[in-house]
Amino acid sequence: MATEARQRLTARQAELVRALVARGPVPTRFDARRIAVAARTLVSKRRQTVARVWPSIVKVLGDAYVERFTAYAEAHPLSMSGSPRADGRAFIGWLESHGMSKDELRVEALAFDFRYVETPSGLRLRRGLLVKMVKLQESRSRVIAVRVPWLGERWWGMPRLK
Amino acid sequence: MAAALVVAAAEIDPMSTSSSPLGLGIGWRPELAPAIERRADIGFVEILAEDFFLAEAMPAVLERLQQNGVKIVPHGVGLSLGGAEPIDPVRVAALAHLAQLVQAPMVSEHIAFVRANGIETGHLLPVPRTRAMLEILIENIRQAEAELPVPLALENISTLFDWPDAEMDEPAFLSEVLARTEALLLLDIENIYANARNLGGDAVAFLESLPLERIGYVHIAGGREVAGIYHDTHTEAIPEEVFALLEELCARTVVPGVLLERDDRFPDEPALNAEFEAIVGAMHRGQERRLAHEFAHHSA
Repeated sequence: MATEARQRLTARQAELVRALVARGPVPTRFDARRIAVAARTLVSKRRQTVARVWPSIVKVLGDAYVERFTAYAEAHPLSMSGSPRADGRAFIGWLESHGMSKDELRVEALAFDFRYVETPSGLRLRRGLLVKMVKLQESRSRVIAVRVPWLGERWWGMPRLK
Repeated sequence: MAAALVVAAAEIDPMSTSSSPLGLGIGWRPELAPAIERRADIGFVEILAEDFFLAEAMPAVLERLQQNGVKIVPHGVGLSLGGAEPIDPVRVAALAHLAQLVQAPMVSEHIAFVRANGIETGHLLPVPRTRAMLEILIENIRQAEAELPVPLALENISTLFDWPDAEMDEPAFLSEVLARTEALLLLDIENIYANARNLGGDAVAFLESLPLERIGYVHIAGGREVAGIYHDTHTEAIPEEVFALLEELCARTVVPGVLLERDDRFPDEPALNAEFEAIVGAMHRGQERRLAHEFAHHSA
């Protein structure tokens, strides 16, 4: 297929995608009411999927989860991998920047960063020598995770989480 | 001569069962695992392909099922075959690898796109039904098929909206995709029901316009209505109208497999089993109608 045909259609698909997930204008001759319903459905589906793969986030936020995730999702389209686990990780980052995170989530985010690297084709497992650290706030300590190939991994400073 | 025969026999993969029926199936979810294991008549399960892309060995949770003869079909949502951009070879390779890992009889994906210009939606979006889109879609499907070790089944999606300026209806669009690729049809009858209910159209006429002999298997599920719109949520019991559609389908063709999708608000085991019985019941009713019709035809 000619490259120009692909480029033309990619532009139209991108326009639709922006209307659905990035508050872009509704493309010409699409039904604006239906696009609005679909956009809301996409956010709630994202929220339910993240809740499934990150139950700890729902546990920590409780009833505030729906409102906070919706605020995050409306401002931030899914990251490049499209992975719900990466979406949850990005949400923890958003909570942190809004002063709403908790130590339990900081430790979980560290565990995620320690294991995975995000690529446009999905998550990949990290390999090789690795050291990661996170500063906790409630317990005023640090958690350090170290992995050495063939020898395994070790964590220091894990707090007792409520 | 004898040696050549042995080689030929060895080349017939014992797990290649694309021509044999799959039977009754369910979308494998951790929450449903115990109920699935206890049901002896499950012939196949779908796994969410992207959830298993990082698996390096056969996942233990699936190994027991496989030992009991249950076939495993990886079901992908991320290939974006309907995307106007070229498909991602890394994702295709991951799907091919998973198919081999679980000795899948086939893999399945959707006639949809999920991203454009680097923006991910995490959702299956409809493609415009134009000649230009059709050419790109078919090229993408053929590229994926060339890399996959097993047949690819493609699913019709549900959508809350449509593109303007369609040049053909959905059955015509699907039929041409199937005619010009090797793909099988993963026919989702709840999606047909949902689209007919939300966007208009006749679900039975839709079925009748498809090449039913190309069905790889069938999806069935239940959704719910919110503010006058039916959402394909896979969270509710199957509506009566969808059972009726399954019966209509089985009255017209032999279906190689029917798979129940349930993603949340999981039913308890008796309720799940009742749903399976109702699926089998609808299939039998359709089958009896078909056989009665064929018998009458032969006698006449």
